Amino acid sequence: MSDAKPNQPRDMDGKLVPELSSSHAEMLVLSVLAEGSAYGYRITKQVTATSGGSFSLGPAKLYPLLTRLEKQGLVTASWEEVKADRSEPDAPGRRRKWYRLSAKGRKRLEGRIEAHRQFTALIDAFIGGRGGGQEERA
Amino acid sequence: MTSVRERTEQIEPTSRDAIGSWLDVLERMLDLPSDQRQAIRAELEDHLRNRIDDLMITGMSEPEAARAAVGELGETAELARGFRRAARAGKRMTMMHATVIAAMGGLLTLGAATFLGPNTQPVEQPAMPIPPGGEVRAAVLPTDPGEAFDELRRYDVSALVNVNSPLEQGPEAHQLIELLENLAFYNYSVYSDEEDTEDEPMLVVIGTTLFVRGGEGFHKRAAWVLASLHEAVGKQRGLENQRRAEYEREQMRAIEKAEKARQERIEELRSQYDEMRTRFREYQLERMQVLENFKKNRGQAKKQGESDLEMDLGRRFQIESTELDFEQQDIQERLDRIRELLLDAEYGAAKPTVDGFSPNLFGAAADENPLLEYLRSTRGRGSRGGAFAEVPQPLKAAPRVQEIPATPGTGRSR
Repeated sequence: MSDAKPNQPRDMDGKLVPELSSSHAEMLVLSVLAEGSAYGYRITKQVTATSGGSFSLGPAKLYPLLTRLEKQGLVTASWEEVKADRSEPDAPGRRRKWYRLSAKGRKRLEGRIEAHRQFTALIDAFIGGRGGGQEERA
Repeated sequence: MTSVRERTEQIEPTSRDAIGSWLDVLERMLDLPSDQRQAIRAELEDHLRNRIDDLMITGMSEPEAARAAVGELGETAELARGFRRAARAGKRMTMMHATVIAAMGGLLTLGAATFLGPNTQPVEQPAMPIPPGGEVRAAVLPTDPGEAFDELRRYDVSALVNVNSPLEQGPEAHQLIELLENLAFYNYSVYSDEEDTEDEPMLVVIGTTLFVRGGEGFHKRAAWVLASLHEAVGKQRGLENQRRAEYEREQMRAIEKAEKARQERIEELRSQYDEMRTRFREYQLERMQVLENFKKNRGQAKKQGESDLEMDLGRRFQIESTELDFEQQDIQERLDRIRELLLDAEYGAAKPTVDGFSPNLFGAAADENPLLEYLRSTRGRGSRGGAFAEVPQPLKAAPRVQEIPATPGTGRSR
């Protein structure tokens, strides 16, 4: 954490929020999309909300990731014309890009979840419930 | 170079202009096709507007919110690099797909005959690489495309797949692709701060050729996996050949054993035949002796006028002759039997065979076999055909049996 990257987000207490690795970021984005279609900004908010602020998926990481996922066929995209709530009546609308999880993406997500579970089970086998076990030793 | 913050502050007065200006800068850095640049711009603008709205709800002013929102995007150059990397992965895949489709289209145009022919004249084919914008121009391809094109390589997997046509994709193709994706694709995915080390590779098996698009690391690992598979296939085939050779050796040993037993049987029958022949000669001598004695004694009795003795001699001769006739019949029957057994031993059920392969162990045709010729000529001359006029001919030696060749079906023993 001492090697904080520039613009690395911080939580309410000013502590640095750990950045996600690309693999985890992919897994979280696909998980969010498994719940339903979403656009980029909504995905970042969903990740922050679901993790209780523990994870941050910034736009600098998210949007190139979404580009890659789309190119790989793991997600499909479509455009919507929107008008911002606060925009002036005569202001032109903007376009919003919605993402949807594809069948291939769903399969990829299932594979990653399974790999994550296996890894977690292995780690648990090593640590064997320590942390809560200190009271027993005493 | 001014920072984003300074740049956006300079461009004020409205956040709308600031956002637009920043997006202009980013767009110039993207170095991508126009449609991709515009899509990225539109998406980021939507993000920034949403973010600004949320920040303003917390009490920020619009310019402050705009600065904060843009700041969250980080260094513009770094962001542009991220988009270029992501787009290149897609571009390479597009090239891969287009290359494969172009190659398949070219093959279909050429037809199977020219595809398989080594002296094929080059014909019009889609060009490689695909220029930006996705246009495919007709051009003349070299006859030998080589083993590699940039990150695209091909591998011969003819030993690993079974296909009937050059464009077929059998079940082994999908198994092979899945195996390579699982083993050779390095994507460190658990609790690591490192980035993925390589973009996801693309694999296609068409006929007996595996096309791979991937980084150097993936190609090295894929080549190792393929070499291991070839080694395993080679070992399996070696084992099968070994088992087949062992089976054939077993079969030949069985043939040799049966043939040895047959030869021993033939020798035994020859010995019996010689014995019967000796007995027949003894019988003939005895018969001649009996006849001589009868003639001599009858002559004397006649001279002496002893008619009673003459009659008695005649009766005794009858009795002895009848006994000798019985003995002759017995010898003939035994000779007939030995003859039949010899014929069976040579051409009957005792002859060993393996999977329909029935070597002609006497080599030459039966007509050249003195034993068979004699047996055939004297067949039926025993009990059915009357007495032997002379001693049966000795059995002439049959041709020696040649060694059985090592591989069945490679030829006769002679």
